[in-house]
Amino acid sequence: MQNKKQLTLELAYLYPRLLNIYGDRGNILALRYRCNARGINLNVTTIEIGENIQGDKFDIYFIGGGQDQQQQLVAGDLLQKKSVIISAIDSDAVFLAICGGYQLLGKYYRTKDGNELKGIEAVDIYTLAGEKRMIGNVICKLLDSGERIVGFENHSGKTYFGSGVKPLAKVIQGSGNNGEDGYEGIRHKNVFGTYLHGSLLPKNPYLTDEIILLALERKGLRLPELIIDDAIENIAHKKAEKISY
Amino acid sequence: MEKFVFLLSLWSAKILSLLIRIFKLGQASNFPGKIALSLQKDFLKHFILKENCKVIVITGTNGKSTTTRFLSNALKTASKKTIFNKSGANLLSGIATLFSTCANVFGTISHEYIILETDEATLPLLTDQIKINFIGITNLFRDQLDRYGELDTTIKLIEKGINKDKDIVLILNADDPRIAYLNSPNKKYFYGLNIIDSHIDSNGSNNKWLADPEEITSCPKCNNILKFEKKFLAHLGNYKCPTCKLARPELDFEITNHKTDEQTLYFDLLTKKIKSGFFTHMIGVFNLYNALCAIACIKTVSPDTTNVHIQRSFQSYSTIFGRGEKITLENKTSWIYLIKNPTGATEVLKTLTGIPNARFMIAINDNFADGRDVSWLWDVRFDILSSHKKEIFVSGKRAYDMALRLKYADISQKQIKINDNLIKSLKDAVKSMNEQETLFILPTYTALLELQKRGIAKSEFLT
Repeated sequence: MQNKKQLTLELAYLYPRLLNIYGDRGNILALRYRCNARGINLNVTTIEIGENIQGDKFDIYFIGGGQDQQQQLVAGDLLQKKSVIISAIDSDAVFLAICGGYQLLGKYYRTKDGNELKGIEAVDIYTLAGEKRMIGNVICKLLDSGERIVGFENHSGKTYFGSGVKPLAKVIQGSGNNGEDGYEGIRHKNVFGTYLHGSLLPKNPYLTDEIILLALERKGLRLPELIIDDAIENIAHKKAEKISY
Repeated sequence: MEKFVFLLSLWSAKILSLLIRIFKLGQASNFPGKIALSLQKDFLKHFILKENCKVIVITGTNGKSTTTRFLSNALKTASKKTIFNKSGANLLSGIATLFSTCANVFGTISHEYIILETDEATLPLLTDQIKINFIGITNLFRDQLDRYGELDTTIKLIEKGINKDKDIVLILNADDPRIAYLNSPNKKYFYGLNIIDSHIDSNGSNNKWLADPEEITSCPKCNNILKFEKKFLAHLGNYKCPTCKLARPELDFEITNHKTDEQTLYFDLLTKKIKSGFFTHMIGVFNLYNALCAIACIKTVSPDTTNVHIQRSFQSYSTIFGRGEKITLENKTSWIYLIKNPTGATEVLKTLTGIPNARFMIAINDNFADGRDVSWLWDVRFDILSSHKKEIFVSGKRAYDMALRLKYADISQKQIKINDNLIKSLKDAVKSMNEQETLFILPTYTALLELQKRGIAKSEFLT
């Protein structure tokens, strides 16, 4: 910080053309906004099908949700990027994966007719197609900090985890991973997997800052101290906590 | 017995409609039909239509109401006895209400044309009950995914509706690949644009992820990604598959050029090698599509309706509830444009920001009819407003979500005026305007209903 050289974080946005529903781009807007406010430049690189990832370049990875057909297209391509992504995760790159993208980081997605859509096995989770779509506003509590997170879920896949990962949050309202065990999302190294749209990050500035902080720490940098005026964020968050549907 | 239950249901619906109207109990466009359907599940099946009566369904995500109204107006101008359901009443209950109101006490409907704006998910339920002759489809965009699930499910519902009857003639938007190649052996006519404007890469290559919201870009046949030579609106355009060579179908009805000023669209329509000019007092590429779909339907369902009829009906067209509706508040001009999904809202913003002295108020609700999930706001290109200098008023149940969306579109927090009370927010907005300015009010569906209840928007449902 002493030499005033501008800090830059590199973000890889995976498949924005195909996985682009439920306002997931709002997460990138939130990261960019809160980086810019602190004088950090967030460089966003889009990675589409068939394009290579320069694995060691990126500090943050983002993958969102998509519709079934698009998700299948992505699944095949993601397998070819498997080793790059796994080594990025091993080197503590921060990864935010939402809904369909979250499912693809796991072992597989098994459809009702028993077919398996292979995931990249970056985290120890698997997903089974469910009968009922889980739709609605979600309130949950992050396991490590106790902070409340709000979002909107819309998925029929039920995700379960193995021993190597821990859940991201405890569900207060809503279904979460599978509607059964009361947990939402996963946390493994610096990977955050979740079903929450909303967009997730704008109304949860705590989580946005956590992602930026982890990305900086990995580079041996500290989060520049700055108080951002979060008045609108906080009210929007509080109001979302009161929604009961 | 069945006949008896039918007549009982019909009369109940008729009496309810009458009571609601006499005692001004609210909207009579859904409730009577809902009761009739609860008395008799296949209520619609029992109506007796005239032998040469033609039933036309208009479905798709955006533009249903406007297209339905265009089509009905033109047929009426050509002196055809026509009925249609009011915008919004596009579920079975709304259609049952329309039938009950228009039938005589024995359940006979004597009109020549019945135009039914139909919700996509309702189509299969409708084709179960009544014989449909034509279906016009506008487009498929993401819309209320929390209610319908994903877009892939929506097209399957439409196909399910169509595939019950091989005789239904389809009038399809060729520019929307999923619609153009929907899976059905039925007779198909295609309409589309062949104009110069295209928005591909209008956003610069650095911010590709901030581009317009888009839907399906994969080939309906081989699933590879389609290549677009031109895109006219979101993913609607002229496409080809680089792998299997699938291409946009040949057009039976096309618009070859258009121009627009602040209030009017002028365009040339080419069909069967004949070019004719039209104009309508509406703006935006979305309305160009609506007018085109309507003309394609008119010329298919009623070949003796002339261009003169069509043009005359365009001129007399009064905008529908909330779809570009002009109102005057304290001597200042306002327009209401309904917003309900990313593509529709983005196109409205693109069209309106081009107008000098435009001011904005946005009202977002998350009631069931709006969709519970407000994520869609993040897919709308609100960054189009980032160069706007004046205050922007935000309101509705999710006013703070909207405010946050604007903040993250680089609109200064000071410019964003939040008041979740719709009427107070509107009053503040009007007060802040000078006489040269025009206020554009962009509400979601139930926010629009609230404006209607307060007498600010037109009372379309009560007419």
